[in-house]
Amino acid sequence: MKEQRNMSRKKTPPSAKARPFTHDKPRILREPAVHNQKAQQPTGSSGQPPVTSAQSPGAFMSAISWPDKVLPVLLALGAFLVTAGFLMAFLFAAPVNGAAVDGVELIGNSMVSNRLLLSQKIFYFHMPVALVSFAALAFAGYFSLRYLMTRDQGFDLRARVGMELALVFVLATMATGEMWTRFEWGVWWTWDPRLTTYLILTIIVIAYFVLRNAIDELERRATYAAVISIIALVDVPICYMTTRLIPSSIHPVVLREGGMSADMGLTVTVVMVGMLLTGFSLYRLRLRQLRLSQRVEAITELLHDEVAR
Amino acid sequence: MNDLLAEIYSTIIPSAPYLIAAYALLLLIFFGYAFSIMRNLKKAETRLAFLEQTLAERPLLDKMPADRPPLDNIPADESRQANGG
Repeated sequence: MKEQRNMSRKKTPPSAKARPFTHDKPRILREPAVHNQKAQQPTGSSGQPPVTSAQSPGAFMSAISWPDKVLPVLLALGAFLVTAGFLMAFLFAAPVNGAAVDGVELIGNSMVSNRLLLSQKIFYFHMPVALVSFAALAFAGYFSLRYLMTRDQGFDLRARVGMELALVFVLATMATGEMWTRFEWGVWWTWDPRLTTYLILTIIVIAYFVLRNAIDELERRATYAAVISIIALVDVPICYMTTRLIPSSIHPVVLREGGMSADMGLTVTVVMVGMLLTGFSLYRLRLRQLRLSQRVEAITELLHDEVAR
Repeated sequence: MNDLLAEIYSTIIPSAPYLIAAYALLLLIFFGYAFSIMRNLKKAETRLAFLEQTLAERPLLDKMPADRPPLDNIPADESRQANGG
């Protein structure tokens, strides 16, 4: 009898029944890192829900990887280079010449016979930001493709962050481009091939988020979003090459042989590297925040279930 | 300033508002996005800290009434108070 009582105590210790989690830190937060949550459960076809980062233990801890450790350095370096590029655009890169004037004037150490274009200074940020938007779309497209191949929700999350970043850079490109267009061409909008293809790209990126918000089912949403993301990626080379393929395009082509002087090239390179670092830092930061939010949601749900029981 | 110089510099002042607007919009977009990330990160960290605190005080949770408000409805300042912040 005594032995039986001991056995039952062993089976369900009262402390364990009352406290499934330890006091110092919940078990769910101390799991080892799981980098690949690929196909841990059967998906849609078998009727079971797909794996989410929130459901996979330790998914949050996997966010603390090497890029996150160097994140503050990358962000600081990116901000420094962008600031340096801004200063270089105004203090180092020579003004670009516009229409010719009737005569020559000595300004500084050079003879000037053209109007000086201050509006061209927009270009030093407009082009790098546009190229980074293409890079973000390439990342998003890659992760979307990986999602379609593996059905791993981790890739969908990465693709979503990539598309978010693409949206930020696309909006920045449109804003800076609009200002330049308004002053140089005298209109807010013209149906130039480059502008039109970039507008299509912008609409596709916005459609991606409209679609995501419209579908509740996790797997269907991720699949449709991945397809939209790949379509956006297909538009990237079209948009990039359009000024080269269509001769009637009035948008300037800069990235070609002799398109930029050395001081212009150096300034653009500094801004470009700064923007890439800033973009990557924002990507990692947003990814970390989303993973953390998912973990919090998962723990809250666990607690709700616990209280309900 | 002679007429020639005036013509050379003729586009500088008219283009300045557009240049300033372009850089201002650029900064606004980036800072807006960075700010939203930081705010969401802070919110998630606050909620996580509150949940950790709740888990550490599990016996108290058991004694709570069944119709208690959901955890995600707890206002930010209350959860901060619970964390001693």
